[in-house]
Amino acid sequence: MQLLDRYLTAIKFWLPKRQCADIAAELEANLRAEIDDRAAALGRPLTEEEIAAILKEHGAPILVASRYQQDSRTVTFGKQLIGPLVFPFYWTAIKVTLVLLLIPGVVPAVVLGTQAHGQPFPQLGHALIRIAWLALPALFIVTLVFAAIDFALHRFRLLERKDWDPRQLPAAARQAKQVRRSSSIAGIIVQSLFILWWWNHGSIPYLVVSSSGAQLHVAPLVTSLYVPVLVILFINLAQRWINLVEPDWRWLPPATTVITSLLGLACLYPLLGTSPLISLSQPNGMPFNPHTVLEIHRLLALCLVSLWIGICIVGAISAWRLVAILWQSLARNRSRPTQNGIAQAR
Amino acid sequence: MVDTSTDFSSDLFSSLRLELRRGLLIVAVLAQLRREHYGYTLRKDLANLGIEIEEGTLYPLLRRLETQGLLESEWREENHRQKRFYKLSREGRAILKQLLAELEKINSSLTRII
Repeated sequence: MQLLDRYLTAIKFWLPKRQCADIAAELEANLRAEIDDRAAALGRPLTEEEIAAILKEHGAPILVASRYQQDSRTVTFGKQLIGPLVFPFYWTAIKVTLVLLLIPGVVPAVVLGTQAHGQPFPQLGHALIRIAWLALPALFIVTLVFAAIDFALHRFRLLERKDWDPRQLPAAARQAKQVRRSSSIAGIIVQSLFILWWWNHGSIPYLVVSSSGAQLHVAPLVTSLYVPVLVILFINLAQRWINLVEPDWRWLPPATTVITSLLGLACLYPLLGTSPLISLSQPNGMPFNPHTVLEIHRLLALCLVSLWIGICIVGAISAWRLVAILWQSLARNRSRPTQNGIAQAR
Repeated sequence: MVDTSTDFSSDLFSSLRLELRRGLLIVAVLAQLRREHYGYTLRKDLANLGIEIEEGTLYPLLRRLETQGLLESEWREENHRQKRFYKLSREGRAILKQLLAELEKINSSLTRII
């Protein structure tokens, strides 16, 4: 019944966590009863092919799991944009997006407001207005993306594919190592928000740093990183989407991290020898305290070197993980059993 | 040239048939669960009575009806295997009675119309 275990593990991957064990146990009981029943009728145990036929008839894992979604909420604008199947994922994405916008927006505003004026509420009000301006396009894009997914699922009948084969499902132990769906979804949201922010602000060559109108100008070399950083972000986003569809491609996240780390190091390398990375100016033309400026430059240089070392470490760990995954995969292929169940000698 | 009108009418028929069957299947499942069943035997019994229902439709339906309070379930061992047995709840009996009365009414009206 290894095939049944593989099938149930694949279904569990898509089931809501709260009911996962219970639904899988019930499905297993029903499927085993059906297999036993057919075996009794034939007077012999079923072959793998016959069990595969039963599972195929039962439906692809994602389709079966989707039928257990009890959330019937939808998003409708004239016509239904997001149906009950996609809605739970959409709703999670909306909540994560709001949390990601609220925490970095509200907490510093409250802390700074309390420290500066002892009154957090005016700062909080300003922060909430700023967040609303950022949240509206972010929520619109999230809605648009999920509406497109819903449309594609129905238009191309992606969940009703007949060409899937239960025998091609990975072993249950291997599925446990798959890239988690929650991790891919969270990554998609974080990367999308970062892209949105970078798209709007990444090219701006200065930032206002105080209420008096003092400005922080970054060196032209820093602003030239706009496109490379965007490329890195899109590579990461693509990896998350691919792993959402192909969770079995465990090699993809470390491979992507290795590539983006190398790209990141290449982008940051010229900055290591660049000085100054920023310049500060005041609207009234008064110079900044040279000591303060020096301290800021030192801090920036330290941040840059730390970032460089951090990327090196992350890249090295990912390269090690990638090698380990590829090695395991090679070892598995070498010891794959032949049709009579005996491992091939090499 | 591809005849799209046949595809259209066949798609339309499938969708209308699905709509027609949806409510009736619930009535059939509730009626059959006046006696206790687990998922697989219920499906088999319904099929033997002429109501084919896919397992992908039936098993989630049972859970939904239980969430709505129309069914009760219990895990129990049978033939050395743990199975989840469903039966109609008290509320389910009351609803089934009303649904059957409604069905009877629709059926007699339809008979007169047709």
